[in-house]
Amino acid sequence: MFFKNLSKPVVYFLLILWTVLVTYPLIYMFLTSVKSHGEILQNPFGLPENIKISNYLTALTEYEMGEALINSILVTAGSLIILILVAALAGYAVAKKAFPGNKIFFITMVAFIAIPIHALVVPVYYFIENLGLSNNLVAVMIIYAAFHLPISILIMRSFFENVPNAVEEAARIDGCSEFRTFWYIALPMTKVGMATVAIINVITIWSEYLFASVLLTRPESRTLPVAVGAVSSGNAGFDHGIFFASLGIATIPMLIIYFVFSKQITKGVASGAVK
Amino acid sequence: MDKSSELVVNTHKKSKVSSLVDTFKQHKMSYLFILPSILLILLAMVVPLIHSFSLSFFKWDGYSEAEFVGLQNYIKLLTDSLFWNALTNNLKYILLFATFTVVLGFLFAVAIDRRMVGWRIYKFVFFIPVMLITAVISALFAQVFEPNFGILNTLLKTVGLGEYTQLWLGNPNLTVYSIIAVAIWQITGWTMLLFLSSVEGIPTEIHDAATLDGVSEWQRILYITIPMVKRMAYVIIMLQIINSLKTFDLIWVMTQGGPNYASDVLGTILYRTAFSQQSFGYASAISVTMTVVVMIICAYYIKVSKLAKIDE
Repeated sequence: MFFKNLSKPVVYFLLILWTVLVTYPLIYMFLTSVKSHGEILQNPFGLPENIKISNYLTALTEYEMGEALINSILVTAGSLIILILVAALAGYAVAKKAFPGNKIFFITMVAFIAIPIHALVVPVYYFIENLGLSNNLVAVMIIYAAFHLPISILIMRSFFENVPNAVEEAARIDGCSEFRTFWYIALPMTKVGMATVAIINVITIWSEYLFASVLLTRPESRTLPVAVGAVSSGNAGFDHGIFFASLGIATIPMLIIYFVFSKQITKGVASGAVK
Repeated sequence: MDKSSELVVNTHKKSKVSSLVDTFKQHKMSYLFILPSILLILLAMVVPLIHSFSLSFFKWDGYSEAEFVGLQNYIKLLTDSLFWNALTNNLKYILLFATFTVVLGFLFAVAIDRRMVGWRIYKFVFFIPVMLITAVISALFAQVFEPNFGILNTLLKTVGLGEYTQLWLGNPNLTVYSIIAVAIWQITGWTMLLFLSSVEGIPTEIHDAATLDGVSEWQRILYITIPMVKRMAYVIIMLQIINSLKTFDLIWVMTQGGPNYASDVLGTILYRTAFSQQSFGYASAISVTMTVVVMIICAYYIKVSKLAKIDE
C-alpha cells in the first residue's frame, strides 16, 4: 500500500525531471547560439534581446562549418548507399540461394559484429595513408560501409526471407535473369528492410568521430564531428555565440530528420537491435 | 599397369576439379552477390586485424624501421599504471553507465507502456539525445560544466546553493563521474526504447487477468513484466558493457583524458599512444587487448541472445 501511494508521484517526478534535463541543455544551446558574445556573459539564461542569425552565417562561412555540413551529408549518404546495396546483395544470396559456403559465409559475417572497430584505427590509418587516400571522402564512405556491413547483412537476410519464393519462381519462368529478379522483383519488396538498415546505421555514421578525426584532417575535408571537436578544443577566447551556432549547425539536420521520421526511427532502432 | 593406374588417378583428380568448377559455374551469380561483402570485410577489417596483431610485437614510430620486440609491448602494458588507471575508469563506466541506463530505461519504458500522462512527450523527448552527434554533446557539456560561467555552477549560485559549485571537469576525483552522467543522459532514451519494444510485446490479457485476481501494480511488475523482459535486459546489459569499453569521443572532446589522466579510458590511451606519441606497436598491443576483451563479452552475448539460434 505504501509503495503504491508513493510510487506514482516518484515516477512522475522522475519523468518530468528527465524531460527538463534532456530539453534544457538543448534549449540553452539554441538560445545562446543567437546571442552576441557580450549578451551571453551578461545574461546567460534569458531570452536573446535580438536574434543574431549572423552567428550561424559566420560559423558556416568563416569556421568551415559549411564545408563540414556538406562533407557530413556526402559521407553519410554515400556510406548508406554503398552499405544498403552491398548488404542487400549478400542478404539476398544468403536468404534465397543454396550455394555451397552459404552458411559459412553468413556465420563469418555475424562473427564480425563482435569486432570492436575502434581497435582497427591504427592499421586502417596506415593503410589509407599509404594508399595516398587521406582526406578522401570516398575512402571514408567505403570504410564506414564495411564497418556496418555485418549487422546490415543480418537484417537484410531476415527481410528477404519473408519474400515468398513463388514470386521469384514466377519471374524465373518468365525468363527473368537472376540479377533482374533480384533488382526488379525482390529488392523492391524489402523497402522496409533497406529503411531499417539506413535508420540503425545513420546515427553512428553521422556522428563517427575516431576514424574521421585521423583520416580527414584538412579543414576543408572535415566532417561535422571533427569540425566540432576542433572548434571545441580551440574555443578559448573566441565568440561564444558563434561557438554555439556551430553546435546548432551540427544538430539541426538530425533533429529535422527525427521530427519528420520519429515513428519510423523508433520502430527501426528497436527492431534492429533485437535482431 | 603403373601407367594405367596413374591415368585413373589423373582423371579422378580432373573430375574433382571440374566438378568444383561446375558448382562454381552453377552458382556463379550467388558468389558474385556475396563478393562485394567479402572484399569490403577483407580490406577494412580482416587485413587491419592481422596487421594490428602482428604490429603489436614490434616497436615502431611510423617512420623508421620496425623493430621486433616479442611480447615486450604486452609486458609494458601490464606494468603500465596508466593502463590500469584507464581500465579502472572503464570499469567504473561499465558499472554506473550500464546500471543507470538499464534501470532508468526500464522504469521509463514501463511508465510509457502504462500510458502515464504525457507518455507521448516522454517517448519523443527522451530519445532526442541519441540522435545528436556525440562530439556535439561533449562540446555542449564542456560549456555546461565550465566552472566560472557554465550554466551548472551559475544555476547553483542563483538558487543559493553556491557552496555546491564544483570544478566538474577540473577536479580529478569528479571528472569521470561528470562524464558518466553525460553518457547516461545521452543513452537512456535508447535503452528505454529497447525495453519499450519488449514490454509492449507482453499481451495485455496477462495483466488484465492478474489485475482481476487482485495482483498489485508492483507485484505485476515484479512477477510478470521483469521475467518477460529478462532476455532483453541481458541483451541491453551486454551491449552497454561493449559500448562502455568502446567509449572514446565523449571523453576525448570533453577532457582528452585529463586532468592528469584522471578520465583516461582504453580508447583515449590508444588514441594518444598512436597519434600523439607515435608508438604504433604499443598502441596495437592496446588494440589487441581491447579486441580480446570485447570478443569474450560478445561470445557470451551471442550465446544468451537470439544470434546463436540463427542457424536453425
